[in-house]
Amino acid sequence: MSPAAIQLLLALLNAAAPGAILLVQDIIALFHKYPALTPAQILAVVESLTKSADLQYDAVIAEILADQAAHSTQPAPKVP
Amino acid sequence: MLYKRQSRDLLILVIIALFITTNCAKPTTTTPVTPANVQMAQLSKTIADAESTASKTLIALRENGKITQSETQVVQNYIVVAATTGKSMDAELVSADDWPTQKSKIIQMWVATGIGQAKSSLSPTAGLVLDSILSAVNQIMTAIGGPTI
Repeated sequence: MSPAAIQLLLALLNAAAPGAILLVQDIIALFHKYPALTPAQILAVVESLTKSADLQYDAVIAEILADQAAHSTQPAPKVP
Repeated sequence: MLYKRQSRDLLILVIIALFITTNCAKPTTTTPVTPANVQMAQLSKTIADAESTASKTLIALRENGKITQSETQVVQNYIVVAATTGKSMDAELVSADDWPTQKSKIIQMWVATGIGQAKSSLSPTAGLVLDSILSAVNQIMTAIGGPTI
């Protein structure tokens, strides 16, 4: 291989290497951020989310029932 | 001999050039796919938030005389139905059913609520309160291939 060709290759590799390194770093970061979850871990996430939602559903139902109990005997306000 | 060497060099250059153009020039990141049941659980929380806001908005509208008590009660009843359905959906999401079964049951649950048709019997103001809940429920329906309610 001629010296000119080697220089060209080195230049190309030099240009290619930072991109390749960044790509590998991105992939590693991605695996750290979103590690592959096992079915048990997914279920735990779902349970946590649904438990939180259920508490809020219960709070909404309680709020509405309390309001209805408080307003059941009052006359309805007139719509302007 | 010289011809072979030049060909080999050229091949190496082409491979490197291809590598650069396909991988390094435009580094891409893959977006991880959220599991379907996790997505549903997240949307359940969105529905719960929407119901909470709707309930408070409804009371504020009544207090300001914008809607009647009877209409308030009708919308409240729909919100309770939606909250109960949300809880049933949550129970289904953590059940032992496989995903196709869960999906089918969730679609049936929301269609059965009749919330989509409720708006037609309400005043525009009262109907608007249900919109945010309907929007969140329809996100679920879209995500799992169900009908818009």
